[in-house]
Amino acid sequence: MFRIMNPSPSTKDFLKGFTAAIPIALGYIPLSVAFGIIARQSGIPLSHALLMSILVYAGASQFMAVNMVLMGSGAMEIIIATLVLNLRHFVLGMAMMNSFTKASKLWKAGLSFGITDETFAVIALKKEAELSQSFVSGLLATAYGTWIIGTWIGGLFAGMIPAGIGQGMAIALYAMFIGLLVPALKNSLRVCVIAAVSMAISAIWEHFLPGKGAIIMATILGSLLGAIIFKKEPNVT
Amino acid sequence: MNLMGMILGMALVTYIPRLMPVLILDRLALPDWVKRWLTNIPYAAMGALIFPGILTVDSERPWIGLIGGMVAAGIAYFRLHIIYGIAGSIATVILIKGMLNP
Repeated sequence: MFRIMNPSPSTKDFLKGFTAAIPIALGYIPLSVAFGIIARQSGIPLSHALLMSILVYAGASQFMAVNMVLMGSGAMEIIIATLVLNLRHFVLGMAMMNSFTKASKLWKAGLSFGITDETFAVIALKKEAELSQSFVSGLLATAYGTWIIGTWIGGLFAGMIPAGIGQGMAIALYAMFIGLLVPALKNSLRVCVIAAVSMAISAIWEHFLPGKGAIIMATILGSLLGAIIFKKEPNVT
Repeated sequence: MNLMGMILGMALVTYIPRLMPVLILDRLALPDWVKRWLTNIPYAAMGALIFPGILTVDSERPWIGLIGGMVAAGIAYFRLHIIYGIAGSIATVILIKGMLNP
C-alpha cells in the first residue's frame, strides 16, 4: 500500500509533509491545549504534562490517565489501561509496515513512534508516489511538534481559555476523519460497507461495553468482514 | 502516587505495540486474505473513530455533532479541501450553540 520512494532526504518533500500535516495539526491544537489545561487543573505539574505528551504521545490515553489520577487510581492500573487502549496502534502499524519494505529498521522504529489514529489515516490514504521518507518524516514531525506545543500552551494558560471556542472545536478531529473517509467512499462499495459495518460494531460495542475497546474491535472486525466479502477487489498498492 | 513512574510505564506500553510490527513483519509471508484485511483497516478505523464518537461533541445534544458531521461530509463530497470541511463544521457547531445559548 505504501512504497517508500526517493530514500534520499529532500527538503521539498519534508515541506510537503508539513503541509499535509496541517489538518492534523488543526485537530491536535484544541486537543493538546485541552489536555494541557485539564492536566494542570488536576494538579499535574506542567513538566509532567509535557512529558506525557512527549513520551506517550497518545491523546486518548493521556486524557484517560488524567481522569484516573483524579479518581485516585494507582500507577499500575493506569499503565495497564493505557496498554489496552493503545493496543490498536499495533493493528495500525501492521497495516503501515506491510509495505515500507525499503526503509531501514532504524527509520521504521522512529516512524512507528509517530503512529496515531490521525497520522495513520492521512498516510493510509496517500498515493504511494507521494510517500517518500522525507515526506513521511515531515508529516509525523509536524503532528508531534504540534501536540507538544499545544500541551505547553494549554498548560501555561490553564485558566484563561473561553469556554465557547473550546466547545466549537471539539468537532475538528471528527471533521478531519470525515474529510478523509468521504472521498474514499465515493468510488468504492467495499469502502462504504466496511465503514458502515465498522460504525455499527463500534456503536453497539460501545453501548454494551463502554470504554472496553469498541474502536479496536470495530476496526479489526469491520476490516476482516470486508476482506471476507470482497475478494475480487484489486489490491490497493 | 509515583507520577513519573506512571508516565514512564505509559510510554513503554504505548511504544511497544507501535514498534512490534517493525520487528516482526519481516519474518511473515502474508496470505492474500490478510493483505486484504490490512488494506481495509484504514476505512474501518475511520468509521469506528467517527461514530459513535461524533455524538459526544455535545454530550447532552448529540444531534449537534451529527449536524457538524454532515456539514463536513457535504463539503468533502463536493471535493472542497479538507480544511474547509474542518472550518465549516467548527463554524456550524459554534453557530448552533450560539443560537441555543444566547
